[in-house]
Amino acid sequence: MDENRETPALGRRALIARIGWGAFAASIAGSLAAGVRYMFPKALDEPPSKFKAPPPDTYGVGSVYAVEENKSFILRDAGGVFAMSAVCTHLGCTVKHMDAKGEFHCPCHGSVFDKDGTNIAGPAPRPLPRLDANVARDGRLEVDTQVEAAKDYRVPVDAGRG
Amino acid sequence: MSAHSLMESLRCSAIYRSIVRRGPADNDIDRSLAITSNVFLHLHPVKIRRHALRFTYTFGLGGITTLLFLILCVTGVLLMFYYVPSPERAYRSMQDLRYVVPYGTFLRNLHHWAAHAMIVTAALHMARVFYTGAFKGTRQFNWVVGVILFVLTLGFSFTGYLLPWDQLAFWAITVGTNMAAAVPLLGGMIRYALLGGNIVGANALLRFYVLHCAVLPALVFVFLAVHFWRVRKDGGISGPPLPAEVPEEGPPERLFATTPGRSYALVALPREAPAAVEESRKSPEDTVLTYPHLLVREAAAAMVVIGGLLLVALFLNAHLEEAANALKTPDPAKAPWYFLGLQEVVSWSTPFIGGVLVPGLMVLALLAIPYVRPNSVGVGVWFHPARRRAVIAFTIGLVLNVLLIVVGMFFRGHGWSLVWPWSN
Ligand code: HEM
Ligand code: FES
Repeated sequence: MDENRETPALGRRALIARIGWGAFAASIAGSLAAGVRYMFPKALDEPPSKFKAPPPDTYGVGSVYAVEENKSFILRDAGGVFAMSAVCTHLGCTVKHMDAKGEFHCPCHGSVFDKDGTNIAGPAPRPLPRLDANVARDGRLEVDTQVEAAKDYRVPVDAGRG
Repeated sequence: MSAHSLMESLRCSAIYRSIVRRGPADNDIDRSLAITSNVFLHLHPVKIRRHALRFTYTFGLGGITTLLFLILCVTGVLLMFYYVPSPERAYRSMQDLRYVVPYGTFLRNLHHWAAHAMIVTAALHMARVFYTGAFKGTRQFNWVVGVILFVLTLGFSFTGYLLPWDQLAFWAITVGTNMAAAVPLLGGMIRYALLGGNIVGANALLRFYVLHCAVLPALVFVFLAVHFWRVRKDGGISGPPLPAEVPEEGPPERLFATTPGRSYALVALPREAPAAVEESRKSPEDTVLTYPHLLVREAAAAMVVIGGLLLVALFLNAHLEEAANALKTPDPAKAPWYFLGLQEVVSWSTPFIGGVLVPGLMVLALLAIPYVRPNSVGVGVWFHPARRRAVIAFTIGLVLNVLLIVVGMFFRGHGWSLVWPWSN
């Protein structure tokens, strides 16, 4: 310790200066944080994630029904009806159904998905997700584009009847 | 009164003199003052090395890029008088510009082609700086500032691209923001902040508009100021090393010491000593007065660029596709040409590799160039033989970029499949 020193390590002036700087830094940091948070709105005016489509038994076996507004397909195979996203898992373009081959092609970077949505060519890393679907009270099919369903999920065609 | 004598009497008027505080620039003192006493011109030094005047050294590329940026600011502000950044009205503003606003097409064309040209000239400017070793020595950091300016320019294009709200715009931004989402950990947040939500919609359009018309111009102006300031502080633009300094036994009495490496030695001249001017002309730097030598060259280049741009804007219309349709991706959906190389890479790889890693590494590599092997070999000489390997490496990168762009432009057809250009 320095014997000659008359003031303690943290003198009154230094302490006040420190509090001052601290308060200044805190207020700047707080404002910056507020500014960042400001860029993330809490409520959005975006279309709802759920939509309704005709009842399950209206689709012919093997048919592909495109719901453009909701970027989805509704398909029916031997096991039942299921909904599938039309948003390419690569970078989000909307895939097109190629009637001839039954495949789905993405125009942006050439990904190809087979009739179940499995990625078979191009850069897409994952299959087209299957979407959660249920039969609503009115008998129509209700699909939620935000909820992914299991790979083999299907709505039985006679569901909701009787 | 002839036009000439009218000009003369104007020049003698008290008002003119109050603005321009010097005599007619018919002597070197007033020519120096023409530069130093003008707020715009004093970006330039009073004298520059004769070497710096050579058109084939710089091809005027930095200056032309600056001019294009200024043209973009003027035409951009004019477009803002009609453009409304909302999904309902954006595309309609573009149609209004085309069909009802007098010279609307012309102005949009000017902005459009100047934007494309600016990307080209900025890239060529960067290549010039590389090939002449102009980023070495004191100029390391100015290369970094240049890379930042280039990235900002691409940011201008990316944000400007969305504004017409046509199909091209909509899908380019859909893909671009999904690439941003591939950033590890923060990706989703970045995308949300860019779009102001989860979809390319009203919030996204407004955000891109504000970035394009306020944030990016402000940033570019700041970095341009730094860029120019550094050019001055680094001793003017680069050139080959000066010939050996004046020998010790050279003329002993000089009015001004010559300071090699600085091109602004001559800032003020005592009126009685015109000899000093002659003296410094013979300095090892071999300098000439900026006014008129550099200024007339700049004016000539500006006239050619402006003339060419006007011609293009008169005869070539900027594209406008169908209005944005979130339900239908056009086939093929192509990014603007300067991003086609990236689109090509993305089409072979995951969004992370093609959209984040490759572009990120490219920018990092550019930033690192002046620091990997700091030396002053070959400054001021195009393709200096001692830099063979560096020149070859940079050229490979450049050629690869151009090749990918060419493939994307001409060899990609429906569903992004490889096609021959003539089979479409
Ligand atoms: C202060 C400067 C600028 C302002 C105020 C401005 C403003 C605007 C406005 C209002 C539009 C929408 C109208 C239109 O699309 O033509 C636009 C479009 C655009 N801007 Fe800018 N801009 C500026 C600078 C730049 C720069 C430096 C670049 C790129 C190097 C650029 C690239 C673009 C592009 C690519 C478009 C789309 C043009 C099209 O195809 O129509 N802008 N800008
Ligand atoms: S977005 Fe579909 S392949 Fe890239």
